[in-house]
Amino acid sequence: MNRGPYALRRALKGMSEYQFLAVATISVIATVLLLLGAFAIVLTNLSGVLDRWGKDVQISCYLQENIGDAGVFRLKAELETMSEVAAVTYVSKDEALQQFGNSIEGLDRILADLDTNPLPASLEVRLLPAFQRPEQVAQVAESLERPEFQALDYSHEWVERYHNFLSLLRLSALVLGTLLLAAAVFLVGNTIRLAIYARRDELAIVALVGGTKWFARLPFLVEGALQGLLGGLVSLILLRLLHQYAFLEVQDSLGMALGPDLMVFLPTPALVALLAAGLAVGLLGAWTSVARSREEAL
Amino acid sequence: MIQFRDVTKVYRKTGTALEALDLSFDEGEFAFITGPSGAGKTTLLKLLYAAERPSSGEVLIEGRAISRLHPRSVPWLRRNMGVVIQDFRLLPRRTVAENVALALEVCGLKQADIQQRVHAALDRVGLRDMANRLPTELSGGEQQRTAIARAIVNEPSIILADEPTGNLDQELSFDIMGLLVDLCHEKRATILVATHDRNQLDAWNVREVQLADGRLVGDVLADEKANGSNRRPTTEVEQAEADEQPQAQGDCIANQEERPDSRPEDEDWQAQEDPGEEASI
Ligand SMILES: Nc1ncnc2c1ncn2[C@@H]1O[C@H](COP(=O)(O)OP(=O)(O)OP(=O)(O)O)[C@@H](O)[C@H]1O
Ligand SMILES: [Mg+2]
Repeated sequence: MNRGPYALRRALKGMSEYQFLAVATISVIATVLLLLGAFAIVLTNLSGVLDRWGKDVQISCYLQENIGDAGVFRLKAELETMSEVAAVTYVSKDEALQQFGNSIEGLDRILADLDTNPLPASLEVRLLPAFQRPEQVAQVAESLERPEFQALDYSHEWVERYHNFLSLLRLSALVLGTLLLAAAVFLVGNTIRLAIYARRDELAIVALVGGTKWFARLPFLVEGALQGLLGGLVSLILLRLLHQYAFLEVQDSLGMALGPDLMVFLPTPALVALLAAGLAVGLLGAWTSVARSREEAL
Repeated sequence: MIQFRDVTKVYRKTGTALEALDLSFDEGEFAFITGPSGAGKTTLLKLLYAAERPSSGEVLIEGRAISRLHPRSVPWLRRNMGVVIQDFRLLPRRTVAENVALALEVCGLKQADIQQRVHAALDRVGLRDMANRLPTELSGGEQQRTAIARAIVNEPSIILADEPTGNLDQELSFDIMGLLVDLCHEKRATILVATHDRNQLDAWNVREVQLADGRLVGDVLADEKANGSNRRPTTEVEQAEADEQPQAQGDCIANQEERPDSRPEDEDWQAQEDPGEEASI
């Protein structure tokens, strides 16, 4: 029937009649979502970095000096058949020297003066994404052992530590996010209860003239939902600004070291989720306070 | 139309407010409920619009025990009633017209219908030109008229008014009471007015139900009042006789025109549930 439009009109009117309370509710929701969003941006980017470095998880197999081209070719083919292996590249002694020379400014000139090339040739083994967890890398490395290799090398400690750090971060994000959302529901519930208290006459009069419970409550729920959505929207805008002016600054100073697209903005699903969280918090806050307020007997 | 059968109301905190009350009102009757402060007048009215439930006994409207009404059906009962409460609460931030319209909006009427009926109701109480004012911009009497307009806008068959002239001066009080009495004539509504305003009680030749300490201590019919015979015994036997008297009591039934049978909606409060209601959220 026309209960929906009525509720919407009432909700809008209620928000304009009690602007202070509306602004308070929207601010609380926006602040919480902003914190969550900022955290999500940091998290997204950190796992992005891990993913990229994960692609770089390579096991360098340094070859003995006396293995000929045929031997190298046979070894390379053998490693490539392994199910964990994505690709194997051969790096000759000369290439190794060149890469090493390029890694530090001016080093190539120093190296050019050497009589002999001290660097071994190597097979660089890149693993499939499914086998890049630290313990798996160690396992694969073990199975790569051959007499033709003088040494195996991979940066396991670092990857492991990074992984642990990231799990910790995810866990704390979960805990913090839950706490924040619960606090938001509580705060929103309280501000809406204030709004209801300010308008308790309305609930009583609606009851007196024969309005059902839902007729009286629906405007408050709509109001909560609207404020939640608005809070979500405000948080998105602030997040965008924060990203633009704070995070990208960080990228400018660190970007070279950490990779080109550090500090990306949140993906669309995450933005939608943020809006949905605002809606849910607003609705839940309104619900908890409306359910607790009984229309007082007249 | 309205019957109290051996009704006792005990408030948990303050004790007995009404005791063994036997009382009935006919359709189209106008009656004052009177008695000193704390006598139980408001409680009696609250039992009728189901804001309170009797501790024992039964309250019947058109044969239905509203004292046992499911809480979900209470709204439909009230849509069939007009209630003016003691402090005639209006919504302070809404105009006169919006305050009156609320009683129709809860029924889900179309805006056009609402506008038209609100206009008619405001016309009826003489507030046509004040439709767009806020309650704070009205005098006490005008506020009271607004509350009455809200009570009559859905053409109820029962109007309950609790001290409708509570803090108004004499002239305004006559005005308001006259309005209610006229409504009784016009709409053939049953109207109960709680008041302890002696001037009003003496001025109108209508039934007077007297309460004291929660007990019925007198029930003076309009004609008896005119004849000057004051007290009317209220033993159970005689009460039962009184119930059977089909004759009109009070002077409001004099011109019995057909009561317009147009309700805001065909919803019947006697229906236990409205299926559309729960679905709307
Ligand atoms: N909600 C309530 N809870 C507890 N006690 C109540 C409540 N309402 C009324 N009472 C008590 O019941 C008795 C009757 O009260 P009621 O309001 O019916 O009197 P009244 O005749 O309307 O008085 P007044 O003329 O002052 O309005 C009083 O003693 C009052 O204190
Ligand atoms: Mg009272």
